Formats: sequence, C-alpha cells, structure tokens
Amino acid sequence: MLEFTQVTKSFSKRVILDNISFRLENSRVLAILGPSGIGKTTILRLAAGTLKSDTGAVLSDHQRVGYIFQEPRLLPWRSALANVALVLKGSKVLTGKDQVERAMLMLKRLGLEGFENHYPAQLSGGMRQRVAIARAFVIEPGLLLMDEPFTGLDLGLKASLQQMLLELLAWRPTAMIYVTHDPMDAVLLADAAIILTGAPGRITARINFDLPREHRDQLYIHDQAMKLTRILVESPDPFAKQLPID
Amino acid sequence: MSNLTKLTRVSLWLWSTLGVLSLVAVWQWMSHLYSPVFVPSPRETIVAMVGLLRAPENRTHVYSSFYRILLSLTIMSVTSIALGVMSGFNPWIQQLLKPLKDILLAIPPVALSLLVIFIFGVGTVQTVTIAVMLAFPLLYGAVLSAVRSVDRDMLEMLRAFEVGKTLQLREAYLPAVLSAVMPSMVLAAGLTVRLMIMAEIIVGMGTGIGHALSLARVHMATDDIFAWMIVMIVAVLTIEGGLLYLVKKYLLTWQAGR
Repeated sequence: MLEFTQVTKSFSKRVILDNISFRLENSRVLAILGPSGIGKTTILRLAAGTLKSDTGAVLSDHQRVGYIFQEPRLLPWRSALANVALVLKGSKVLTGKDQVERAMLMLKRLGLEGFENHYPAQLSGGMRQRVAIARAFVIEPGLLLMDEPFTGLDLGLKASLQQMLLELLAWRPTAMIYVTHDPMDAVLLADAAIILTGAPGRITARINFDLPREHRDQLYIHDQAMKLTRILVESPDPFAKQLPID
Repeated sequence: MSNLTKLTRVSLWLWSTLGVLSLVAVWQWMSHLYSPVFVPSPRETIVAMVGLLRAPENRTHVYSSFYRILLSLTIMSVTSIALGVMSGFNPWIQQLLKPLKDILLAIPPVALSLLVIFIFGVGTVQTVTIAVMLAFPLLYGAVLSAVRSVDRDMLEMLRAFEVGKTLQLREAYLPAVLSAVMPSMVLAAGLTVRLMIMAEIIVGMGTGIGHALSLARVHMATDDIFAWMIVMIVAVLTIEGGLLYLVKKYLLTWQAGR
C-alpha cells in the first residue's frame, strides 16, 4: 500500500504541490494527469523516496520500487544485460550468477535475446525503452513508477510497448503510478485516475474505471478518455501567460 | 575515426606524411642557409642521435628522465584525480584549493622552479615536485568539472533503484569522469614530459635528458641538441599516442553507433 496524506512540496520557496492525498492499494494502477510543470513527476519522486515532502506524510510498505523514466536512462558504458543486472547488485539473496541469469530471463521476456551484449548506443529507441522496462521489472517491484515512458515514440511502437506492459502486469501484478498526458493511455492501463490542476498543483478530480482492464472495449476507453479530457480542458492552464489588453 | 573509409584514412595519412616531409624540407633548407654549428642538417642530426643512443651514459640519461617522468605522472594523476573528485563533491574543498590552483596556473614555470631550488635544493624529488605542481592544475580542473557534470538524471535513476554509494561511484562517476578526463590526461602527460626536461635543466641535475641538453649547450654541440629534441618528440608522441590508443579503445567500445 502507498498513501499520501496532505503532502506539500516546495522548491526555492515556490509551492509545487499542495495538500495531495491519495491511497494506492497493492496491484492497483493509478494514472496521474495534468498539464506540464504541475508536479506529476514530483509525486513520483516523493513515492520513490528520492525527495522528502515538506509537510504531510508519504507512507509505503513496498520493499522494492521500480522506476521507468521518460528517457531510458541506461548507463552508456554498460551492455543491456549489465544495465538490467545492475539494479540487482544490492541483493543479499541472489549470487552474482543468479543476478545475471535473472536479468537475462527478463530480457528474453521482453524480446531482447541476442541483444544482451549490445551497448545502449547500438540499440534503437524502442529497444532501449524495453531494456528500461526489463530493469524495472527484474527487481520484482511491489510498486512501479512510470513517468510518461512512451512519449516521443511512434504510434506502433507505443502500442506494442503498452501491450508488453499489460502482459507484464498480468504476469506479475504490481501497484503502479502512471504519469501521462494522454487520457486514452490512462484508461487503457489504469484502474483509477487523478487530475492535478492549478498552481500549486492540487487534486481536482478522481475517477475510478469500474470495468476490469481486460473487459474494456474501444467504446468504454473513448467514453472515459473524453470524460478525462473534458476535465483537463475546462481546468484553467496555470502557466498560460495573460496577454496584455489594450 | 572508425567510420572513415579506407580511402579517407589513406588520404589523411598521406597529408600528415606530407606535413612531416615539408618540415624536414624547411629544416634542410635552413641548414644550407646557416652554418652547421647553428643548424645541423637532418642527416647530421640522425647520425648524432644514433651516436648518442649508442653511448651507455646517454642511455642512463634517458632512463633517469623516464623514471622521473613516470614518477611525476603517477603522483600527478593520483593527486589530481583524488583532489578533483573530493572538490567535485565538496564545494568547500574546491574553494580551499582554488587559490593554489589559480597561483599554479598563473606562476611562470621558471619562477616556480627557481623557488623550489632555492628552498629545497637540487635532486630528483625537486624536479618531480616542479613537474607535478605545474601539470596538476590542468588535470585537477578537468576532473573537477567532470565530476560536476555527471548526468544528474542517471544519478537519480541509481538512487531510485537504491543502488549503493560505492556502486554509484563505480558505475556512474568513474566511467563518466574517466571518459571526460582522458583527453586532458593525454595533454597533461605530454606537458609533464616537457616540464620534466625543463626542470632537469633549471635544477641542474647530474643525470637525465635535461642534463645532456645542458652539456650539449656548453659544448655548442647543436647536432646533439637537435638529436635530443627528436628523442623528446618521439617520447612525447609515444606516450600521447599510447594513451590516446587506450582512450579510443575504451570509448569506442560503448560509443559505437552514436
């Protein structure tokens, strides 16, 4: 379980997040939507523990947290296999050989067999992101944090990575926070969504997608996505500059 | 370089060979203009060089200089990297070392050498100290800025996956710093060789290439001076070339395809 209770966070005296409260049960997926700069990534950093909140509490009982960033963030001087095995090195249970074997199995599951010794510069953008997904899942995370990982990818690649992610979630159910700009993505992957608006960012809407993911058809996805889009469009953009009036 | 076609590589090699031949041609022409006492011809220089290297005492000079150069390079690399990394992590240490770095960069090499001789006298330790102090700021500055410019996003990723501090140093800092610092390391190595010879001359060592150059100057043996200069050029190019080879071998393995 992950719980945010009345969390606020400021940077250089500017309040970014104000009074953020939500609860994420195990194996559930929560999407966070909102304009750029509203503080969505800050929520992920607070959940990962790489940032501390100013006030309020972030409680988590997850032992292992996986993170998929917008960019793959692979070490350029390490092979795909070494990049995935790296996050297992702190393990007190697995031997070095076990770590490599587990990393290799994860790469195979993501269709990267034969590319394990390639350096990131030798892989395509989609392959690099698959290595990043393998790295996040190899630790068998209780909580997975995803920060717009499909931004900038072409539609076909995005759809195939989303399908891969759905299969991984079905294989190993994991609580997940999914930050995205795309309401369709949110409905496709999440069980619920929260929308952040304003400056500082506050939660202004919460929507539960009652239908299980596997039963959602195109009509349901479009209908729910429209609902989210309407809320997003009707919220004033906190960063829009006021044009001077003559 | 690996992406260049064979034809381009051959053409580049031909142009640099032409550059060397042009310099030799100018040298030959100068030797006709001036007396051999001032400018010996390339042929006379080669003969002098073979003669020099055959003499056992001259081989001792070469070994002495190389021993000092190696010692200076080791001490300079270790101190620059250690202090550069510490300064990169801790701005207080950086501020503490800033005046020393600025002074060493500003002070003329000869002035520092004379100061060291006046205070500490003559010896290997003194020549090594001079070379280390003068080459230190170059590598130290490069290490410092390399540590500062390590990819913050990458570090955030390692922290998010709870990768320990030691592993962060080994997996993120060390390769990033090494790849950023290696070109400066090559420059610093070449600089150390030149500074060492200068220090040997100024300190007045009893052995070393610097000492041999001083003797040649006293005896007006310009062919010997030219011969020693060629030995030094070969030494610098060998050390720089060797280091550059290692740099390229290391960087090209993971930068291929970029």
